Amino acid sequence: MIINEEIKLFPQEVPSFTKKIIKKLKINGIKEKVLFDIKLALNEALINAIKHGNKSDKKKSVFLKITRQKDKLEICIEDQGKGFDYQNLQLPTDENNLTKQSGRGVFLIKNFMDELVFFNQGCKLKMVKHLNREGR
Amino acid sequence: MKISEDKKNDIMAVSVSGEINIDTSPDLRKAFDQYAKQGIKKVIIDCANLTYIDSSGLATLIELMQRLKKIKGELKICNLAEKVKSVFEVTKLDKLFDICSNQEQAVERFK
Repeated sequence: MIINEEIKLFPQEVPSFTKKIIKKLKINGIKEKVLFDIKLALNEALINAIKHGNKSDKKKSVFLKITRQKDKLEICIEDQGKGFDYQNLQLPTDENNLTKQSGRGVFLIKNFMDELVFFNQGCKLKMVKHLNREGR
Repeated sequence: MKISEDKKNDIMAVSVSGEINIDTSPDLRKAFDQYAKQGIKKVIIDCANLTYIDSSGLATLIELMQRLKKIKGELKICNLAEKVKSVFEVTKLDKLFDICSNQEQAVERFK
């Protein structure tokens, strides 16, 4: 299975888009609990790419590629922004950060997916979910 | 997201079904604007039918809790389903919010 899409959306349009992608993954027999984790990571990554990467500029695109190899789902997302310092993100679970309104997206992706790697100064990410596990 | 409300005495119980995400969060904020206008300071969000929450949804709940705190009010959250609860646990927001098993326990904790 391959999903290959060029996306031009506003951040608030992402959940409806993700819902359609999750529907396609569901047809492919992925378990409900695992789908929750993928949906969360996909929403967070796409919103980050559009909002922080492309600065919500609809002239810019986000490229999404999803591939499945047996029990492994690989998702690649690339924006057209300037990147970000993904190696020095604040930990949202620190007591001082608990009430902050932002800064949980990448942390959630790391925790709900099995692998997360950034490329190209953070403009591109690859995240992997092992489908034979029960989900988080 | 659908919101249904049940006010008993000075407590507003808000049942939220569906998703709290970047698209639906404004509806929850609007509902809380109305409670503020009505002078309601004690709010329970019943999540029995909440299927999904993301970081935008969490940020909205933090904002609503802080708004209530400013007027010496309180927010309780109850009936979290397993997967939704895991989002609160991973982010340690289960320590920040008063999370109750059900509405009865939430009402009890207001006393």
